[in-house]
Amino acid sequence: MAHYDLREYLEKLDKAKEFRRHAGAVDTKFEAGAIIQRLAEQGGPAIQFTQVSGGPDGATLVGGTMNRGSRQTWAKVAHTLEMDPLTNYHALLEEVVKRMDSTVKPMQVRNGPCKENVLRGADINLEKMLAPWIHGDDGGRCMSSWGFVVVQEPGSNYLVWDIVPHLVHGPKELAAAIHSDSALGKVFARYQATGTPMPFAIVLGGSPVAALAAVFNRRRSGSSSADVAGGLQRNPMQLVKCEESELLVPATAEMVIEGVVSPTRMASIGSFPGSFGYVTDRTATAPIWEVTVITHRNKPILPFATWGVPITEIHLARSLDCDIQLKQEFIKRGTPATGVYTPPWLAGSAVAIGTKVPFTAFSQSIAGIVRATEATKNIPYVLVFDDDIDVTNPISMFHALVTKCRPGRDTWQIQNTCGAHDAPYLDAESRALGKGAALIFDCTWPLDWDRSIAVPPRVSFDQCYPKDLQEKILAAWSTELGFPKESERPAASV
Amino acid sequence: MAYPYHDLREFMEACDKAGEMVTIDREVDWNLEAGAIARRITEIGAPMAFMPKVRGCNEGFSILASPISKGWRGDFSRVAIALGMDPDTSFQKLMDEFISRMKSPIRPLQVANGPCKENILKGADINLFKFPAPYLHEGDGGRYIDTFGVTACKDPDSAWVNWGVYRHMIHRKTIMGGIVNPFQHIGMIYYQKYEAHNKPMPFSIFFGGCPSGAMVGSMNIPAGVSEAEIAGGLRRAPLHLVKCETNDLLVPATAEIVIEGVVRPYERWDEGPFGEATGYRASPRMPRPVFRVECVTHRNNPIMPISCPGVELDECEILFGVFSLTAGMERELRTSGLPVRSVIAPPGLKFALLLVSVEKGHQGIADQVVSVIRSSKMGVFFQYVMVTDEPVDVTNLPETLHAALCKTHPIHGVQIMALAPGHPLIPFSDLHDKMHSRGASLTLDATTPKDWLVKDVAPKRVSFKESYSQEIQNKVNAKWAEYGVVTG
Repeated sequence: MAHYDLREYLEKLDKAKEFRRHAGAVDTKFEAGAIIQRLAEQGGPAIQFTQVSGGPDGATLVGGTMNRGSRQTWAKVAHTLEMDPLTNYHALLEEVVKRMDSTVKPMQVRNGPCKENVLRGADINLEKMLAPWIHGDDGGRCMSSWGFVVVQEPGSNYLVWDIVPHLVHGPKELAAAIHSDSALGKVFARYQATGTPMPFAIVLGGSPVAALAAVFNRRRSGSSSADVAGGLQRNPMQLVKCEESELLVPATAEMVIEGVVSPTRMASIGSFPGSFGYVTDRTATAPIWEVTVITHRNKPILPFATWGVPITEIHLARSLDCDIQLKQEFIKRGTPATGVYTPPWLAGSAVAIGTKVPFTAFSQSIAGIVRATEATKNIPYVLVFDDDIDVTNPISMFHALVTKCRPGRDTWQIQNTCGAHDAPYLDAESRALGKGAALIFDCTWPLDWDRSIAVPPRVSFDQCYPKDLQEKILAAWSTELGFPKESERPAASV
Repeated sequence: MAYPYHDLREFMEACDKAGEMVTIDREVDWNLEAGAIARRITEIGAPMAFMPKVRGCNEGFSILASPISKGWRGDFSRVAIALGMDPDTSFQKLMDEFISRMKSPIRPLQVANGPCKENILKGADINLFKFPAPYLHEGDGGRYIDTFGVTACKDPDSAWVNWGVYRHMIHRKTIMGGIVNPFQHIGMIYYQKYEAHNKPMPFSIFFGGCPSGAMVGSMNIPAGVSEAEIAGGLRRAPLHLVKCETNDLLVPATAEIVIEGVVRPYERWDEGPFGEATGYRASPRMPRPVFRVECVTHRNNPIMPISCPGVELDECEILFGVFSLTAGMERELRTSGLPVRSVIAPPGLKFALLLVSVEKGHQGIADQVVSVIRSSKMGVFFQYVMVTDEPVDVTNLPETLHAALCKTHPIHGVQIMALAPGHPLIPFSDLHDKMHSRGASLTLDATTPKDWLVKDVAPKRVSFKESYSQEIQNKVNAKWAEYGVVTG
């Protein structure tokens, strides 16, 4: 069964000890953000702050709904997908790829909890609403940092979902940057071309898979984000029509903000971090989003995310998106890749691929696929490994890199690739132009080396002992051999 | 526990008390089983293992597996215990302590007798196979009796006695083979001072005693400096040494086992291969010098310390890589007057990468750092250098790699030396390059261009420590328990 809404999901997290409710007063100016950012950096539960100021009545704030879990990085993503939180990443990815291939069309319903309250006109004052000021350097309070935007392609009924943070810009105005290379940007450009305002809806809360689907927003074989969300939760999304537009939004959303984006009006918004965990543009200007209607549930629970250094929601969601797309490409092309990981802790600066090597310089083919794939096209570092390396293990991966990749022979630099608009390694001009660069680290053994003499075998427990001996030792480890269990390890003192 | 440790047994007691040792009561097979256990300890970080019953050995002979490898409470908890410090001491504190103790060497004392003489075997009484000499990894060329022993040899032209930790494989009951690299001190002494004059080189290998002996033997100590004095400094008390039976070398009186003998000039037997501390079985079986054993002395119920090298933090990586090379490079960089914050060879990466954190705002700083590294004798070990100016905790590898990779331009920030001096153990070198010590190196410059700082357009890291005022941080830290969060 799918999560009906955010509340049911939080209950599930609570049972799994990945959720806390904090009843004490918390300042939405910086304090809430600082707590969630610290949790993202070291891993921890989601936290709901129930004593926070800002409307509507009874509104509360929840952070860390899908960032790094207490013990397992991917635990909350697994919960979102209703999988075992201890699922190994490769299995999780396999399952998600499967679900991406079986999308489920949404159902339109007449009504839903998101319509419990409808605010219009004088009842709307964004400056009085619950919206945290997340970081010390931000341009202001952030109404939506983990909500997603719904817009419609002009002249079709195709709905695009995308995630972009919105800062409060006035009592009835939000401001959010729209980048031309994003799904949202491509739609907005078409409205701008005809000088037409773009109707939008911002969705906060609802089934948590919707936010994932919004990150996986690229149009795939005609499926919309809602179809993808339905596939991810193996159940149709229930959508309800907006008040002022034909846009459809999840019926169990906590809050829906409706309005139009002006094709011409721009505001200076100050800074907000990009997805790499760095602020790159501190004087950004952004289109103004004019708000006309807000609908919300009673006592809405508003989710927020911090977008700081890893591992926050956006890092996990983007990593998963990259890995899904690459895996799909590899399957389609018959590439003998055995592992793919865009480490969320590197925030999209590198992607690691384990593979069998069918011919010399095969890593160039892999890197070609990476740069030809929408989600990964502007990742600057491509690391290619033999299939015996677990690419989800940072030490194994970087050990293999520094010991197997010979600088010069096994490194290729590429000028003028796609670059991300928020990439910290680029200067402002290159970022504006989307002009990046890439470096491939080929960490596979050369094929022309004599396997019996020249190729050094890796010396590890799982690679240089007979399988039956390994199993015997593992079975006896904390019993007959007397080693303490991992769960008994004393916490590191700080 | 009184510090300094009188012998290996006192160190074991201290580890036992701290939860850093388990005793395996059942019999353990020398054939791969002891090695597999030692390997797993090293990979996951676990207490070291005392194995009192080893199949096929003399009654009462035992193994101590992985004495200084990645620890249970923390990566370096047994290093801390070996120095007589709290097992939870931070890496930086341990490093500072290492550096300060090694600056004040203490000369050893010679004593007339010691427990290592409790049993003396000569000639036909010697059978190395009866000692705990495990077959450590599948694919090794033989049983390695010495993986954490200290080989002593003397420069015939001076008073310098070198101690080093090298590997030794059993060829026959009284014959061993080992790798003697010309760029190591034992190689300099054997090839240049004995073999060149067609003379046999006397050697003594001791196992056990105060762990400071094996620790300094694993480290990068300059030629001409006797490790016994540095070990004295490390333990802040002189070592007690006793003369060997068949040569004039001195070894710790409380050693568990001492193997004495000679390496004849020009004698070579096939030795190896062996799974090494780079994480690979890298150098093929080759003709290498032969260690002929003339005498073995040992304590009653001797304990053989063994290291099972491979991936992750083994004894060699910890002592030679993480502590010794890092300390050496930090000294060189600071001596050069560069604004260096911290230096580390990240644990688990086998001292192939050196990570240097510097202050912001110095144009060309990464190149200066790399130039200093490349100009140093130790620089040859670091094929990769990464220079960051973000104030990250360099002991946190994921955090540091994130900070650095996001800020390194793949073209302008990367310097590749396609041909550079190398050493023969570099895994990525082909056989020709290994033979001729050819390598290659790469630098990742993650520092902020100065003009970005001047124009105030440099990317700013968004983290708990950097994006919130001290006041907010203090408030959140103080209330952390109140939020009810259990992390980790």
